[in-house]
Amino acid sequence: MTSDTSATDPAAPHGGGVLGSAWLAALLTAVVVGLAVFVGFNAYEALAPAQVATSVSTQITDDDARSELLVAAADLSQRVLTYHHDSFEKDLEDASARLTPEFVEEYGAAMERVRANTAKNEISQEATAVSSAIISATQDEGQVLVFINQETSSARTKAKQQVRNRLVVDLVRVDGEWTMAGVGALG
Amino acid sequence: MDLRRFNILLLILGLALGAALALLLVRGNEALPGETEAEQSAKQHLDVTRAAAAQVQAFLGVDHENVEEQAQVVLDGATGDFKQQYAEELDSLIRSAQAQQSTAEATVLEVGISDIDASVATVFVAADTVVTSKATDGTSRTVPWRIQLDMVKEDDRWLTSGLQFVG
Repeated sequence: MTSDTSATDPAAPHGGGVLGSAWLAALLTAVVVGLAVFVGFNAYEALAPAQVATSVSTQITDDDARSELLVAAADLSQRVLTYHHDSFEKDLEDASARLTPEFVEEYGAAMERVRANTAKNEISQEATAVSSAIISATQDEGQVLVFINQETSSARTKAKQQVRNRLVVDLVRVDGEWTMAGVGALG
Repeated sequence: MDLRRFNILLLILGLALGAALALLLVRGNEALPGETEAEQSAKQHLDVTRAAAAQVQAFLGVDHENVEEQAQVVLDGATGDFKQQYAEELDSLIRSAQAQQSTAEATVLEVGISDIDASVATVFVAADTVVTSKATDGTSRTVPWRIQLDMVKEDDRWLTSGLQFVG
């Protein structure tokens, strides 16, 4: 008979022992909620600097891939900025071969603007890339800072002009090869 | 679910959260998924870029009324030969800036990284300064710059060990 007493006693813990008590449930719920908030806050804080890196985490870091991009940027910059009055068409053709279809139109239009003067004054322009450095790069897109020296001379007037330029070159990979998608001079 | 089972579940959840919290407090973001080698490398690129931009900004900027303080910023971000050379020329730089009442407002236009590994980097920076001095009769003149920085990592900071103008 005494064995039924505890089952009907309202003061007795549910399910028996401290583990089944309502006050423990309340306490544990509060602790778990508090911990969850604290863990969430710390995870957010810890993740914050990683997110900064994630925005550029697709950057290429392999040395060979970086070198390939740097060489392409320097080479293509030289090609689009080098032309001679006696090989104008060929220079144009060579440079256009490694430009995106959108940029080749822009480049062609720019070269048309200098065509007449180049022929008239027998102008030659030589561009030499003195350094190139990656601003940002993924496997398929890159932006490269190129320092380039241009020397423009006229065989007719014997005039010479030297310009030290700073270019930002946009490249995209087309069929596995870096191709120039745009170029802009700084300043 | 009876109360006993519910409490056991809460206990397990509490222990798991406690362990996660301890891990986070001890190891920071390394304890979280996503900090890959590529992300560490990307963060390194970002650190180098920021340090180079800050150094060029400090190096090119001139305020004849505040030259010593500006020079200290350059020295704080410098090391090795560059630090020594800059320190040696500091008096002359200060006298010149004060005599000419020079100001140069520097703007970093682009920063690119040429070579980089865990402890050294070669960085190129394009910047402009807008300069006014007695020599310009108070009118401002924009000067373009092409700069190469050699950087080394010391005590988790990227410092400039060499600076040269690219001709």
